[in-house]
Amino acid sequence: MRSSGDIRPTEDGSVVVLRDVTKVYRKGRVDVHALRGVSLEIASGDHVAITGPSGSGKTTLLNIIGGLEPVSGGRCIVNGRDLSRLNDHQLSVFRNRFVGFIFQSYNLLPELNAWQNVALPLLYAGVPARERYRKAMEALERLGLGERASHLPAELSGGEEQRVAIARALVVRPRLVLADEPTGNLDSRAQAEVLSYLKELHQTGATLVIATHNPDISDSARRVVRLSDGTVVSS
Amino acid sequence: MIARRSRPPGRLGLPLPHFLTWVCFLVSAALLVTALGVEGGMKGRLEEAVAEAPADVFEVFREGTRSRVLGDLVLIEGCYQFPLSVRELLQELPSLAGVAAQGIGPTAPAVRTKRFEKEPFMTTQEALDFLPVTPDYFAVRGIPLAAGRSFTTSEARDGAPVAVVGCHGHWWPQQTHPGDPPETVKISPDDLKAHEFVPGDTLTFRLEATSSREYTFTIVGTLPETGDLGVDGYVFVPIGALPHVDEPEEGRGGFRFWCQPHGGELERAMADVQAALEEYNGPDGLVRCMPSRISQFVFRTLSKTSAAGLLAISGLALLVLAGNLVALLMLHVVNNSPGIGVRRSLGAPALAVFGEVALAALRLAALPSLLGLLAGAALSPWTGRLLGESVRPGLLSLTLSAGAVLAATLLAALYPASLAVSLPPGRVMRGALPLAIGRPFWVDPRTFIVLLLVAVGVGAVVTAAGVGRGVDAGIEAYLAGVGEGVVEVKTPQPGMGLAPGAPSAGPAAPLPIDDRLLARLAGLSGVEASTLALSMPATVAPGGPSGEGGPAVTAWVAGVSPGYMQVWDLRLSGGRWLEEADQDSPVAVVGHSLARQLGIEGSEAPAELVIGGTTFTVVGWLEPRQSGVLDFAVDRDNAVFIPHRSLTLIEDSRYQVTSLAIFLRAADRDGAGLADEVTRFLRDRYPGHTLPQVRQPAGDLSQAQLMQRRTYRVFTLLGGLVLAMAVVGLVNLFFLRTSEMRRQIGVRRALGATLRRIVLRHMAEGAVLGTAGGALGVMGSWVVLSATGRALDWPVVLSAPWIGGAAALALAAGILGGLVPTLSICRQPPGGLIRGRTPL
Repeated sequence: MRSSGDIRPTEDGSVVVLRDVTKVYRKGRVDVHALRGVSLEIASGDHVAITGPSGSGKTTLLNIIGGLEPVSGGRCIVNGRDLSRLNDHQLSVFRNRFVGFIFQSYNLLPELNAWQNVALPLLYAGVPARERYRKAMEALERLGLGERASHLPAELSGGEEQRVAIARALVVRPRLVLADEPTGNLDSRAQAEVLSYLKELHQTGATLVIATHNPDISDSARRVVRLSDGTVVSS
Repeated sequence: MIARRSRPPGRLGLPLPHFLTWVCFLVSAALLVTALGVEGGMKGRLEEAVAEAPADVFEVFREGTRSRVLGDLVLIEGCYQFPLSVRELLQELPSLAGVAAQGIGPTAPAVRTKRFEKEPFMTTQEALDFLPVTPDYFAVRGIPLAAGRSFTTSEARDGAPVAVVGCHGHWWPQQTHPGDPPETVKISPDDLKAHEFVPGDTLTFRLEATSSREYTFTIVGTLPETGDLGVDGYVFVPIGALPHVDEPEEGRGGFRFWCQPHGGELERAMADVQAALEEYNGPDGLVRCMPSRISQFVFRTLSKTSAAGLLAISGLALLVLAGNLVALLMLHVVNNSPGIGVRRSLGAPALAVFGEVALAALRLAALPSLLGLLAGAALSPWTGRLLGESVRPGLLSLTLSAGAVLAATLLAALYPASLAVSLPPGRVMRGALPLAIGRPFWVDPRTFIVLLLVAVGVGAVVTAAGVGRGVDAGIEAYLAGVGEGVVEVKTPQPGMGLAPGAPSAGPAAPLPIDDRLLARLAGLSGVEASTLALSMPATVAPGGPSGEGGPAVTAWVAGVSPGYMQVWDLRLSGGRWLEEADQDSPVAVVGHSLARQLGIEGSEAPAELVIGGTTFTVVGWLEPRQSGVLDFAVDRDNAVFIPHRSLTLIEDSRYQVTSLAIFLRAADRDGAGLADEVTRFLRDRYPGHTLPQVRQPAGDLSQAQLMQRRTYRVFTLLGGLVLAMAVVGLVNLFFLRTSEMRRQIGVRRALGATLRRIVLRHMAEGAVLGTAGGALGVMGSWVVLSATGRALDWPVVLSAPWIGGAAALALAAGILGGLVPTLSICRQPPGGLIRGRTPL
C-alpha cells in the first residue's frame, strides 16, 4: 500500500493541478473573491515562486494546495487526489504526511519548546515518543538549533523561530513544501540563512512552492507565477 | 489576537458566551425573586396547614423584625416582645366572645432571676427563675399538675397570700410520700433539702433589688416532667401577685398568650384576639395568632431550615453568576488590553479601569436582570404551580433581588480589573494578558473559578437533597415511633398543644372511657389492636430480697391492656408481656432505663417493685427506645406497665391518674380513616353524651413531613438551577479558551492533527474539570451536611442517587463543554483559523 507521502504525479508529471479554482470569502455582508478561476500545474520536484501584491491571493492559493481551505469552485488535485473529495480525516493525514507548511508568522505553539514544536507532526503521525525526540533533534541540529532545543518560542529570535518552523515542516520529509512569506519578518542575515535551507530542501527532491515578495527568492525559483487580484497574470 | 482585532472595544466577549451569561443573569434575577417569593408562599402554605389542622389552643405573639428580610417565615423565634400591659390585657381578653380561657406566661426573655432563702434548710442563697402566669395557664397548655393544684382566682389577686407551683426539676428528686423508702436521694444536699417544693410547704424569698423585703409563698402544686414545653426549671407565681414581675421593662421581655376558643371556633377566637390586640397596639398591628400545636413542631423544624436554605441557595446562585461574569470579564479585559494599556500609560488611574470593566459588566447585566426580575414576578403564579408552592414576590423581594444582582455584578468586575492594572501598561499594550495561550488549562485562572462553580452547583443539589432527606428521615423516625396508624380516644382535655377540641361546655354527661368502650371500639372494622391506657407519675422502688437497699426513683406507671404492646410496637428484651390473665394481678413490665436504674435489668430471680406501697412482680423488660422515636403516650424507657385494673391495688391515695385514653391501631396504617370511623361510631352510638376526642397523634408530624417534602423539593430544584448556571460557566470557559486558541488549533490541524484528536483532548480537559468540580462539591456538601446536621440535630443523609446524578451531570457538562466549542472551531478550515478569517 502506498503511503500518503508518496508522489503520485498525474500523467503529465504534475503533482499539483488546479483547474479553474475560485475562492470566495464572506466578510460581513460582502463576498470577497480571493481567487478567480486560477488554473495551474506544478510538476513534481519543481521550485515555484508565487508573487503578487498583498491581497492578490497568494496565501489563499497555498492554503488551497495544502488542504487548509476548501475551494469555492473548480478542482484542486494534489498528488493525484481531488482534495474536495477527501473527508476531514483523509485531509488531516494528507497534510501530515505529504505537505510541509512554513508560515510567515512561524505559528509556533507558545506552550511547547523548540523540539516539542518540531515533533508535533510526528506526534500526529503516530511516531513513538523516543523516535519523535530523535528526529526532532536531528532536524534542529541540521538547522543549527540543537542547543536551543529546549527553549520556548518566546526565548528565541525571529530567525531562530523561523528555523524551528522550517525544521517542523521538514521533519516528516514532506514531498510538497508550502512556504508563505518565509522571510517576511526576518533581517537580511536571517533571510539568507532561510533561503539557503530552502535551496537544500529543494535539492532533496521536494516540490517547493513559495509565496513571496522577496525578489531574491523569486529569482532563485525555477518558475515564477504572478497573481493579481485573484488571477494568474503570468506563469 | 484574532478576537482582539475582530471586536470593537467595549463589547463584551463572544456571542455565545455573551448570550449564555445574559441568560444566567435573567435566570438568576428570576430565581432570586422566585426564591424570596416562595418564602412567602411557604408561609402561606403553613397558614393553610394551620387552618386545616384541628387545634384547640393558639398563641398570640408579635412578628419579628427579621420579617423584613424573609417575609414572616422566621417569626417564631425571639419575636414576642410587645409593650403591652399584661394587667390591661387580663381585663380585655376574657371579655372577648370567642375566648373561653387564656393562659399567659412570659417567654424566656421575661424571666426575672430572684434570690431566695429558705430557712432552716437553706444555707446559701440560690437564684430561681419566676414565671408569672394566670391560673388557667397549665390547663390551657394542657400540662396536668403532678401533685397539688394550680392557683385559684382569688390567689391571683393583688394582696392575696402568694402561692407558687414548682416545676418537676425542683420537686421530683426531693419528693417523699408515704410508703417511700426512708432514705431519699438529694440532688443538691447543700442547697435543697428534703420536703422542698412539696405542696403545703412555704418558702421565703426576697427580691434581689429590694432585699429588705421578704415574700412568703405557699407551694400549692408541682408540675410533672414535661420535656420540651419550656416550663422546666421555673417557679410559677400568679401573674397579679407580684407587681414587680408582671410588667415587661420598656418593651423588653414579653408575654405569650395561650388562648382557648369557645366550642372549638378557633378562627373566630383568633380573629377576636387579633383584632383586640391590634386595636390595643395601634395601627401597626404587630400581633399575630397561631395555633400552638402546629408551631410546636413545624416551626421549630421548618422555620430554621427553610430560612437558612433559601438564603443559602440564593447566595449560591449569586456566587455562580458572579463567577461566570468574572470569566467573561477576564476575556473582555484581554480583548481590550491594548486600549487599557494606552489609557494607563496616559495616566488613567486603576479606578478608571475598574469603572470601564464595571460598565461593561453592567451593560451586560442591566437588561437581562430587569427582564428576570419582571419575569420572576409576572410568572409567579405559574412557577408556584410548577413548584407546588404559592409564590408571592413583593416589592421587598424585587428590591432585594435587584440589589443583590447589582452587588454581584460590581464585585465580579474587581478581579478582571485588577488583572489589567497588575501589569505595567507597556506589557498590557503588547498583549501580555491572554490567559489560555501558552498555558495548560489547569493553570488558567478561569479554570479554578469554573471548578469552584461546578463544585458549588453540585454541592447545592447534593446539600439541598441531603438536608431534605435528613429532615425527612428525622420525621420518619418520629412517625415510626408515634405510629402512623394509631388513633387516640381520650377525655376532652387540652394537652400540651397536641390535644384538639375544646372542653365540653354542654350539660351532657361525658362518655366514660373504660373497658366497655374499649371493647366496642376494638370491634370496629379496620382496628388491628387496641388498648386502654391510664398513667400517673409515682415513686417506684425495688422490692423483695434482690431489691433491698436499692434506690427509689420517679417513674410513669401505666395501667394498660394487653394490646398496648402491639399498638405502640413495643419489644421485649426479656420475660413476657402482660396477658389477659394478669388483669387483676400485681405484675409489671419495666422499661429499659428504669430497669437499669432499679438494678433489676434482666435479673434471673423474679424481681419485685414497690409502687405506692404495693409490691408488683416483674415479668418482663422492654428493649430501649430507638433513637429519634417519640413516645406520644408514656415514656417507655422510664415507665412501669401494669394491668390497668391493677392500678386499684396501689394503696397510696395520693397518686392520681393524670391521663386516660384508648389507643387503636389501624390495620392498614390508615389512621385518618380509622379516626373518621371512630368519630362516626361515637356520634351515632352515643348521641346524648359529650363525646371524647378522637385524633391521630401522628397527624401533626405527617403534616410537617408533607410540608418539608414540598419545601425541599423546591430547594433541590433551585439547587439544580444553580448547577445549570455552573454548567453554563463551564461551557463558557471552553468557548472562551477555544476562541483564544483558535490559531493554535488551526496550526495543529495544519500539521496533521485530526478532528478527533483535538476534540478528545478538550473533552478530556472538560471531563477532568467536571469530575474534579463534582468531587469537590460532594465533599463540600458532606462537610456542610455534617456540620448543619450536628448543629440542628438531624441525620446526615448523603443521597446516593442525587450525588450520582449531580456528579454525572457535572461530568457530562464537562465533556459537553469540551466537545461543543471545539467541534465548532475544528469544523472551520484550518487556514481560516490561522488567518482569523472566520471568527466565532
